[in-house]
Amino acid sequence: MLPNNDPLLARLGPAVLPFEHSQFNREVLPGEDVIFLDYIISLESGHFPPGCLRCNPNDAERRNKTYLWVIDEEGLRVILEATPNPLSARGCVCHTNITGRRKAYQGGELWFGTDSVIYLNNQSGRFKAITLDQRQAVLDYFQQVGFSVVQAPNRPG
Amino acid sequence: MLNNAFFERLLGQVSTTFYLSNDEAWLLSYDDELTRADFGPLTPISLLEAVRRYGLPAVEKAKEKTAIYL
Repeated sequence: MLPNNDPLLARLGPAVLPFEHSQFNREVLPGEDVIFLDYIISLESGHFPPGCLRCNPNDAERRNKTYLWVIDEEGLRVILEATPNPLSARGCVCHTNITGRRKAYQGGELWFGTDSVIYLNNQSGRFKAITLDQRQAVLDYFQQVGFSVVQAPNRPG
Repeated sequence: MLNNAFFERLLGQVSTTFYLSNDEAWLLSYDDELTRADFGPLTPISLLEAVRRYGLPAVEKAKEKTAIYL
């Protein structure tokens, strides 16, 4: 977790509420703000979590090994997107199941590569990057934590 | 009565805008510097028109994941 005065946080931010970047044109729906504490994993150690699902990011089977990532005031955290959320219409977790209704700097999807590289994109309807500098700041954050990262296309597979 | 006209009136009152890529292969829920860098020039489309053309599940997916391949 970076100190509040770290310049990288300024490049990531400002922290925004869910959907604030889209002028709140969608609401956080029931069940989407329940924090799934038992399923959220911090990546602030800079190491792949024990038992995480790894994949070749070019394989079709990567979809069910997608993790949602968020950077907020508690640092870099992930949750496996396939985690069931019976409380929401979507049926599985989303980024606000990590943050609740609180602000976050950035969010997206990632895959833990079999080559020990993290492949990430910025696909979060709630917390996506909106500038090229923010996208680069996300990569810099992951690298500062200690990961090798590759920017994946912001195009759903 | 809950018919098509009712839902079209309802959706028509919402100011939410979606966007199409130039080749109309992608429906997107954002128009910003990063999205234009990734997808090129975008054409705005109303929520009602997006639902008419592509259906509500596609529009919701575009909102959830920022983009959907059509």
